[in-house]
Amino acid sequence: MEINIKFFGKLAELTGENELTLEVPDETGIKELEGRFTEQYATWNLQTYLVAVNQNITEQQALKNGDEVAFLPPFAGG
Amino acid sequence: MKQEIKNHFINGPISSDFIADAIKKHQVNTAIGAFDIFLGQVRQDEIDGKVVTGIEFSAYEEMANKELIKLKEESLEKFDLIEAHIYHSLGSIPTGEVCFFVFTSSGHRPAAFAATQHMVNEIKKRVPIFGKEMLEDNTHEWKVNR
Repeated sequence: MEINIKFFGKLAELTGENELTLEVPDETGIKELEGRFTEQYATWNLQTYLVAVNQNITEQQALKNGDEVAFLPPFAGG
Repeated sequence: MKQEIKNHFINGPISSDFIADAIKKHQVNTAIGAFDIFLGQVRQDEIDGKVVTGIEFSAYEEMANKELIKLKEESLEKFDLIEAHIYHSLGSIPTGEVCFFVFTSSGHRPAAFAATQHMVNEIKKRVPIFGKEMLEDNTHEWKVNR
C-alpha cells in the first residue's frame, strides 16, 4: 500500500524532506514507520512529536492505503 | 458535514493597517458593544547569550485551518460572541512585528474578554504551527510553546 508522509518543523529539517510517498507492506503501522525512520535518521528516536493520520492527532497504530501520516514536532504558534 | 477550508494564514507580518481595517469592517454591526483583540509580537529573546532576530513560522496548513475553524465554532457556542477571527503569520517575521491576531466581538465585554483568552490559549496548544527562532549568528533554535 501507499502512505503519504509529511514532516514539519524540526523533523523536516532532520529528514531533509517535507513530504514523501512510501510503498510499504499492507500490515505496516505507525510503529513500523518509526522503526524505519530511526534507522534512517540518526537522532529520530530523540525527537518529541505527535502523529496525525489524515489530519487528526491519534495514537492509533494501523494504517490503510492512501493515508496521510504527519509527524508534528512541538507547536509554537502564537 | 463538508466544510469550506478558510485560510487563517498571512504571509509575512500582520500590519497595523490590516488590524485597523478589521475593526472598521465590524463597525457597521451595531449589535456589537465590545471588541477584544490579542496581538502576539515576536519578542527579542536571548537564547544562550544569542539575540533572537525573528521567527520563521510554518504550519500544517490544512490541519491547522480545520482546527482553527473548529475552535472558532466551539468559542462562538461557548461564549456569547457575535464574531471571532484568527490570523497567524507564516514566513520570516522580524522581532517587533505582529505575527498573531485574535479578534472577538460581543454585545458586552465579559464574553469577548473570556473568548479571546480561551482562543489564544487553545491555539498555542492545539494548532500545528511551528516556529524557528533565528539567532543573531545565523544559527537557529526550534521554538516550543510552554
